Amino acid sequence: MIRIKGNLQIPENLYQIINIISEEQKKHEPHGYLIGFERLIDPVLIGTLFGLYKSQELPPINKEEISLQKSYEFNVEISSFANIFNHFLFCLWVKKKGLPDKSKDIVKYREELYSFISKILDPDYYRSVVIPFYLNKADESESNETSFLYRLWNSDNLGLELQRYSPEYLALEFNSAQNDFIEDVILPLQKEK
Amino acid sequence: MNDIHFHLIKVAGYRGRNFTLKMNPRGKNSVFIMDGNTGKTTTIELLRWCFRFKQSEAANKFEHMWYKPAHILDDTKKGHQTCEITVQFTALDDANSEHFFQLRRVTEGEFDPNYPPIGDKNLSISDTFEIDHGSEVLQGDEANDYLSREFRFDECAEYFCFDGEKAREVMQLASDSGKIDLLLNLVNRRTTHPALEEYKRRLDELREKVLAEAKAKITEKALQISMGKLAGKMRALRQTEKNLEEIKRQIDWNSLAEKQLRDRLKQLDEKITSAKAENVIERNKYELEQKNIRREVAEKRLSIYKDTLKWIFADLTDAVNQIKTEVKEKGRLPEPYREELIKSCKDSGSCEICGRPLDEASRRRIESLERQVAPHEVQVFLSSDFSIPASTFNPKIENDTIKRLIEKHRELDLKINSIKLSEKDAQLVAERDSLDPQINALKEKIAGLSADADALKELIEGLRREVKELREKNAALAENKIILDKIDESIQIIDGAAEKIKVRATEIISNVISEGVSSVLGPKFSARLSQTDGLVLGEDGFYGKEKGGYSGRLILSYCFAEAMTLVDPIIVDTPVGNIGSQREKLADHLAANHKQVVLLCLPTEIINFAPFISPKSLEIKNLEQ
Repeated sequence: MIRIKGNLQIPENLYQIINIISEEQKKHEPHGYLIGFERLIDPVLIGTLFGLYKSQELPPINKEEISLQKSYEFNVEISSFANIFNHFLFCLWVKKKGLPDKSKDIVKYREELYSFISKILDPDYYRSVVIPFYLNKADESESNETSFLYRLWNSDNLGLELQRYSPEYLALEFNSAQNDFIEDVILPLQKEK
Repeated sequence: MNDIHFHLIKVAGYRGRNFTLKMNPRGKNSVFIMDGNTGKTTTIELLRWCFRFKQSEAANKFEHMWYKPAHILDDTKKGHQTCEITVQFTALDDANSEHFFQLRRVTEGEFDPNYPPIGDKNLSISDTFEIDHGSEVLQGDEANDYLSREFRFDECAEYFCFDGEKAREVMQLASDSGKIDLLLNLVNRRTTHPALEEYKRRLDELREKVLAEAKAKITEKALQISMGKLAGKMRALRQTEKNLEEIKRQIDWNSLAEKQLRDRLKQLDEKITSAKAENVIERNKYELEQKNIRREVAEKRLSIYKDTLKWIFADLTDAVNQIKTEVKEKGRLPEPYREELIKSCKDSGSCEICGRPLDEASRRRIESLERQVAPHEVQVFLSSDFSIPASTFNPKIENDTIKRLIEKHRELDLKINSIKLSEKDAQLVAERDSLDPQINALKEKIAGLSADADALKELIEGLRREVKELREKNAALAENKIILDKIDESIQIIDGAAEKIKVRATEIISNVISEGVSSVLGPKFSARLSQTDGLVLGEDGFYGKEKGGYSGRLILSYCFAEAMTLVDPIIVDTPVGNIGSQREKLADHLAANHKQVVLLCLPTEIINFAPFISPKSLEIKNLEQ
């Protein structure tokens, strides 16, 4: 079971999102679309996943903490999400390291795999490194496009317009990043076996 | 003049219309077959315009269908243009001698759509009235004055030229209790008795004669001067009385015109309000649709964020599990139980499988194995089946749906923005806007005329007093006093009688209309014109505004028009529509009650109608100018 307990380092844009949801939740008649997130952790999780999809990078194993612009205190259980996320990380690790090969040092391979999985199953590492690492990735601008988290923040007050920061567009973009991840990471591994 | 017979109506250059209607000779009716949009209504409207308005007042008074005023010039033509209307007719004098008359109205100008109020620019209207083939020619307003005086065309032009539009107007007047005054005003104008006016004129002449004879006998200079003064005052009095009558007539006419304009204004306001109401209903419908779209979009967007785990592609499950299995198998990852075995071996210092004590090499080997054994949670992770909750979320469908909804919302925006007054409604607004100045102008005119009438009344009172004093002072008139008093008394009686006749004439008109109605619709139908109910149709002695249906009330309108016509020919435009099976009877009735009927009818009206008016009909085609 993975529970995020304590301060989580988050980018400024995500902090704004959380604040909006938090404020809206207190209102009798909330407005805006971000209130659609039922839990404050939800935009954190979707941002983390997007960061993984987009970066296709492994988290720094040796780091103990990543600092971002803001922090927000959570005490929430995220096992379902973490299970999925960790499997994607596992796949990415396998993609980076390759499948086990008898001709090579299998012992070393096992040691590294166990070490990696142990790390990502550690709630503290998860809170202090994994999530901030990928949130930071999700907060990075891409060429002419503003970051995913920035657009997520802007998706609250949208009106009846088709924009690159509308919820449906962000979901579509998330889906596109996910497809890229599957195509780049998972499908090649399937072919390799 | 009596027994007017129309011989020719020629239209040349009226908005591309060029045709001549040559009527059959005296004693015969005429039927002209004119297809739709060939000038039937135009003919009627042009006749009304020529007969109602004198040259100096005719500009921008032409009315055509619902355009009031309508432009007389051709709006498709550029530059200078001419429109000419010629009407030839004959009439019999008291000695039964026939006289020829021709009215020719020539309108010149150019059409400029931006020229207020209706585009007829530099308009010049000139009337020429010819009597007996040029033996006398009247120009300008004199033409209309003559026609009004001798034939009263100005008073009955609305009715002896009759069309469906006028019939509908009469039907509205007859059906609307709020317009009884208007209807009765029309009737009152009709009830002026020319014979009484003639008696009054003759009594005046007699008085002149008596005074002239008395004057001739006077030798005394002072008395002669007094007589001359008296005669002058008498002439001034008569002229002033005539002027007063004319002003009263103008007041009546203008009041009627003002009331008609007010009614039209009210009617237009209602139409405009109704058009706006329809627009509001349509707008509300679209706005409601937009509201629903906004709600649907908001719900969808909220739903997109509601459970973000559904964004994850669930079909990855098998692929990930396969990769896990592959890693486990190819990597020959130790089974979890080995962790316990290694721990026991290390703790006991001997092999738990074979029981031998562990030497140094064996111990290192076991420690190496320990490092290759994953911790429990790692083992669980690797051995557990991976699964993602199933989801039906399809971001592309969601995106497309929202896109479609937003596009629909935009289309509704366009529809809402396009909701404005239609061209026809805009014309209504333009017409309504043009009515206010006309009404105000009429009000001012009526106020001026009323002031003139009051001044004339005072003048008349003064003149009467002066005449009375002069008569009493003049000894020479003593012997004629009785006859002069009798003349005055007779004139007063005639004036009183005229009022009584007006009431009686209304009854007579009512009876005439009723006779007409019975003649066309059958004996169980009748009509009644009264101060309280206006004009109503009766069936079996029961009167009501709904009696007789549309066709019955249309016949009532024709009969009213007949009764209101002071001249004999009746010129009718397209009369058959909506009168159904009454067409033969109406044709019979028209033919029997008029010395001349001029029928402008559609080709479809030949059957069961036109032959009853005239056995021969003439097809009229528009000629190129």
